Amino acid sequence: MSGEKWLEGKTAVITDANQAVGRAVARLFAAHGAALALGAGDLTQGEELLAELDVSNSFVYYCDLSDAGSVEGFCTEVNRRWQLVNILVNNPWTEESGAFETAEDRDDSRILQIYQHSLVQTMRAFWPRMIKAGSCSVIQISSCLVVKPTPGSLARAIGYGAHGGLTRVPAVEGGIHEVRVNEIYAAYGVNTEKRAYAPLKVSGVERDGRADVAGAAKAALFLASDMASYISGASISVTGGVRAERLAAVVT
Amino acid sequence: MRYSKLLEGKSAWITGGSAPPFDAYALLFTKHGARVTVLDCEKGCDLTEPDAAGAACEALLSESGPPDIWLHIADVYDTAYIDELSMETLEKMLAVSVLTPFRIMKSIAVPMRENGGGSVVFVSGEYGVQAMNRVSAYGAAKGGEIAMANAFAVEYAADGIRVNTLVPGVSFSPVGDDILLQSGESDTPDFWGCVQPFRRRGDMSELANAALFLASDMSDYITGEALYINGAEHLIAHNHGFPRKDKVMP
Repeated sequence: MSGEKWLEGKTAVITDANQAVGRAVARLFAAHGAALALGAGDLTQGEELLAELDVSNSFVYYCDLSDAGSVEGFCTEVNRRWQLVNILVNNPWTEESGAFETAEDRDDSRILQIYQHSLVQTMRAFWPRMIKAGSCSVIQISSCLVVKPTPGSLARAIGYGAHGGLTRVPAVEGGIHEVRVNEIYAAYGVNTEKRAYAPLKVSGVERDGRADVAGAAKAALFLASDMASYISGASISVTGGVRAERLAAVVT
Repeated sequence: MRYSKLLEGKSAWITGGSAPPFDAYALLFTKHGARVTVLDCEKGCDLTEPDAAGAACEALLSESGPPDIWLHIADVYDTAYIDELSMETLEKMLAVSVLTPFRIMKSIAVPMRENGGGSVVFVSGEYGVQAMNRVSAYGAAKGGEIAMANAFAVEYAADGIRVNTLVPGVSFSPVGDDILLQSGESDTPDFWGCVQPFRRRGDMSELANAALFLASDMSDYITGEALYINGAEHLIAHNHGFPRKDKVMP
């Protein structure tokens, strides 16, 4: 593979596209020639993002991942406009979290909708056409919280933990069609403006949060493209070494 | 970033792989603009001898400076039950997959750090993570390679040296050929479908693409990772081992 545009002729759905990783993925995918369907919980931000991109056959649509009806509406709109989704990037994120003893049932339900049910909804909506066409790619943006939790991260860890199952089972089921499903463990707080730009110390290195966002987007591009044509069911940690390191990373 | 020239201006050392099919790595790295130097027996560097390989690398260091990228793909593959396996075979496997890479890293880590860092990629194998019968020695070598790479990653992160591992499954390599030979099966989707969701072996060019990703700035925030490249084979509950006729396997 040697071209400058790795996703030319492909269609890509990105949820929570108005969050930091979603925006970075959208910009990189657009630069590589993909048509985009951006699901945005904040429509104004989504429209601003789309306006800055040089893309065709693309659109932004309101999609609040905490609302199953909203997710269904987005998926219906995508399927109405496009015959096939080649690439699906599930990028659910919410600021909500809390310590184990303070979590309440209603919070859990909301979190489960955002992090788990929304993924099931998007995959069910696009999967039949993906396996019929073959050679498609699904990418779940997860978090290193799954392997190295931090205090107070219960809600997000519950949600991201489910991404593993929603990666590996479809990876096996989709294998015969070479529909690939992989997950990316992004760095702590990567989707928040505030903490994404806070220094993160990993393996003795103080990192700029923006590297996390760009790194996650580049990994998503790799997994979305034919460069990763034999990779499925994999988890890639884009964290500067958090997974390999024995000691917990220190977020400052 | 030029996506058609991901390694432009970079120097890359590749230990092993001057002959097909493993030359796919060197060919792809060259295509992406790297200045590639291949070190293996065919190039006069015996990777089964750690000190000799280390000396060869030090000579190369003096001649052309440290590499930006070091890709280690060499290994020794053999399968046998533990009681059948010679210690010499095990020692040779460990030499090529662990001792020689360790020796080379000792030589090049400091020059690489002084040169601003770089990327190191080891091509390990699935038997380093998951077992099947007859691969105790090969698995030990490949598992040791992954553990060593992770330790390198943590130790050199502050120096800007990233270290990652590829974990291939069955591919068009001697390992894949041996599975067919030992099982008496033919290279068909029906056979591979018993053990492999993609129902096929990986092409060496697909492995090389993943190595390129890890070698390049595409993965500049990734270190200490073992990346499966196997069409999801690691997720399948199976044992495609070959029962020994004179033994009753549990």
